[in-house]
Amino acid sequence: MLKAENLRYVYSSGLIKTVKKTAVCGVDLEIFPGETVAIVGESGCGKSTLAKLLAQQLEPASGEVFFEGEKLTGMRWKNLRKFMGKIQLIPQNPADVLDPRWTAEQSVAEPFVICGGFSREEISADVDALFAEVGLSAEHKTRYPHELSGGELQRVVIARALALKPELLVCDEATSMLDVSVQAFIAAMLKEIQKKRGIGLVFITHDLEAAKAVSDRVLVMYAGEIVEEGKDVFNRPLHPYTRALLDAAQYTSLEVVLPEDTGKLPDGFSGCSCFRLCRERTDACKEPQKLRNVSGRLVRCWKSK
Amino acid sequence: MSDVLLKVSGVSVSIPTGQGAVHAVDDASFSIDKHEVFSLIGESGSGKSILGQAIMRLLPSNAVFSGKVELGGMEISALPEKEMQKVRGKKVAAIAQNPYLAMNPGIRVGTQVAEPMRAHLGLSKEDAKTRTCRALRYFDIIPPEVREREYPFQYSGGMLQRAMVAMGTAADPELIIADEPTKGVDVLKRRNIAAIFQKVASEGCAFLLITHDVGFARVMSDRIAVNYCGQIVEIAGKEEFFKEPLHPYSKALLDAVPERGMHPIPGSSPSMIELPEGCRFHPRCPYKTDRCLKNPPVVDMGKRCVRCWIYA
Amino acid sequence: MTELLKNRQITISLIILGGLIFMAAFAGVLAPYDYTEKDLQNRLQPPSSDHLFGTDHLGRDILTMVMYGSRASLFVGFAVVGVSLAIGVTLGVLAGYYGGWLDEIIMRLTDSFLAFPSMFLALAITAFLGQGMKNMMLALIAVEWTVFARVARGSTLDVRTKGYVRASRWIGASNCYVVIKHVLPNIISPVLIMASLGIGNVILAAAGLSFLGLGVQPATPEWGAMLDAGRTYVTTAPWLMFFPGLFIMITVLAFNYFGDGLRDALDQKMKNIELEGRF
Repeated sequence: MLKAENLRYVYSSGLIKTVKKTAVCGVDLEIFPGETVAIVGESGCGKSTLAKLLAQQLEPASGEVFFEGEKLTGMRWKNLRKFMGKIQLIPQNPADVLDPRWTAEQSVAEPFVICGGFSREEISADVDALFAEVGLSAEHKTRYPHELSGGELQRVVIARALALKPELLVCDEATSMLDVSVQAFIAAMLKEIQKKRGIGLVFITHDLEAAKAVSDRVLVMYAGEIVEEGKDVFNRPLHPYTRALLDAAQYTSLEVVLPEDTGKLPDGFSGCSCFRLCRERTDACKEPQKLRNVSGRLVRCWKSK
Repeated sequence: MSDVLLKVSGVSVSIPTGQGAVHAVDDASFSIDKHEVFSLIGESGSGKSILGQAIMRLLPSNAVFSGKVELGGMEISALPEKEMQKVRGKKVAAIAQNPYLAMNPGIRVGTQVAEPMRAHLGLSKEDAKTRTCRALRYFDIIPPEVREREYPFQYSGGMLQRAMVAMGTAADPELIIADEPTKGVDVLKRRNIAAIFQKVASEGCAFLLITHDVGFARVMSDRIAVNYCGQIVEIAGKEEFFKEPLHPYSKALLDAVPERGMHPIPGSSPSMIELPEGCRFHPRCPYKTDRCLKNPPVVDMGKRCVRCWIYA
Repeated sequence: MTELLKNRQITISLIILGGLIFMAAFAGVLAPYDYTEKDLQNRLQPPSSDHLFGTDHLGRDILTMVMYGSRASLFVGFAVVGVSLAIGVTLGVLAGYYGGWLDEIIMRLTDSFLAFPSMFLALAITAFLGQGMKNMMLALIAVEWTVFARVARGSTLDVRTKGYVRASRWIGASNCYVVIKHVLPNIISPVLIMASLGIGNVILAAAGLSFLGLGVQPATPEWGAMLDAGRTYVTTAPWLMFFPGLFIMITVLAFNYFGDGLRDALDQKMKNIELEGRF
């Protein structure tokens, strides 16, 4: 359904835009209808940027994104409008994307109003249905964003995203700012919505347990590259970085502080991006690493067999 | 000599707002021993941060406080502000959530880390500098002599977090209050925070960890207290708590963790202005009875206690 | 809305302003005399039970003149600020939202108006156009619109980058829709505060211009004109200047108080929202 080829995105910063950071380098990815794909990695690994690239909020420096066969990258705004309802982005902080002066009801009704062609009763009925779908009651309709909790706000954002019947939901760390108990609720709800509507779900998170519980397939990202991809990644991690992530999540070996990694490799270094982190590194790691297919999984490490 | 370091007795805090008084903390009572890591877990908005602020006497000016807080036998809740300033930073230190907000971007890191030393321990500039370098080295901020003179923007996120902990521990406090140290933090950073805290705890410092991250609390603490809607509903040792949580809310909270199946807690938290009658959790409780309409007693079971009618 | 009233500054100033507006509206009924009524027998009478504020050099009752004068001042205040707001906010929002060359042009226009000290600009324009209330109002509008343009532009720049604007545009909202439905409601607070402070300024400026003889037509009751008329008698009959001056002061203070109270209340609301958000 959604296919991305060789996506690359570079951030420039600095006074005359000289400092460049490649946030996403050469990512290929495919999402099939009805499946949930999780993308995990630490903060700064480029997964948020990847989410925005997929949702067409950013233009890639190179590479293309296809949706149901049509190339979206480089499409004119007028033509892109047709696809807007189909791909929706759910951001990390719901308060950012809700107008503080609008009630929850108005925000959720907005897509209908903008698209036009709906009568007042139709909009009202649709909004009620959406509220029910995300588990909010009628009393939430008239509340303003500052009167709602984080979990409720996120549900309003999800309700609005579902208004135009999207085929793909991209959740960019949608649960990271919420409490652990609420995270469970939202993740479960997203999974249920995905199953009921048969849509695709891209779930980006740094919480490995949530990813494991929700997804069919997992992609592990580091420094803008995919280092491992597959179905059973957390039970049998093949890449050293995945193993490090799992160790961290389970708090094993707390005595050793992980070596500080600032994502900056020495200039001219073209080897494995995990070189500084990996404890099992050898000279062979100084060569550029490619994704290899290892028993149904894709791994970017020459050591995996 | 008693082992008790911090004793909180019957603390209540309510804050008046436009819509009515928010009863942020109600009748909180617990104690923390010396060298003990004590976690206060609960959802955001349940008032646990306010409790932390109440202990440090950093409440907003219109808050209404009642109860008693004793540190090392001394009642700090009644101290005049000037005396309290000597306690803050020296005996009790707070570690903020966000290092970029806690550290002044315009002052060198070394100066900031040295500040508690100079203010509370009365060290001279040179002595403070030596001690700062030692602290930086302890937290793996190397080379300390160079790092000491740098500004916060030259530090990476994890490093600045460690510098912030160094600043908090600079004057050798007996108790550290950490408010939501792992909010919005990814797994690798979270593990590093756990590692630093454990390092500091191994030196003998006691911790009051205020967090909603149950996994983090489990790794770090000796004892756990569960907070719901401004009330402490259960206090237990770590092992007993995770083996068998007693309060229905504790059970629900543990079931919501992904490892146990991610079962969401039914219903939603009540507003802190209009609280339910009697037990604050009873509208959502699967075991509720008629008794629950009356305030449940705190049942003392020796090493642990629960605020619930089931065990009364 | 009702919580705004809990702010003491707002309530007190609203009461005073309400009283003033009531006085202006019902001057015809409330005033003891007709302001055109000249009673040359009783010129320059000090305040008495007959004439609570005394009489002026033409025997007219000063209390009546003050009451009718409030009409001119309040009308000028509201009208000038109303039109300035309309012009300034439109230009400011356009500049802030679209940026680019439109922003440059509008900002340079604003700058050129701001380059002149406001009083001199108003004086020059009135002197050029001639005396009269309409010309005075035009001059004051010319000075006042820049304030709103700046405030509106700044707030628009802030709102333009917000996530909800992006979200709306992503679903296909047109620029017009975003400006009307998202930008305008979110910039209203600072604009309203500026407006209430602006009314006070304008009333003062109008009084000043009339005092200099450049404002309303002679014989129209207006507080500034009354000050001008009373100038000659300031030592012999100070009540001619005292009462209109007092009312200018009360009105301007009331508007400023209201504006300050509004600003504090909206600030407090923001603070409360943050406080509640923290729970």
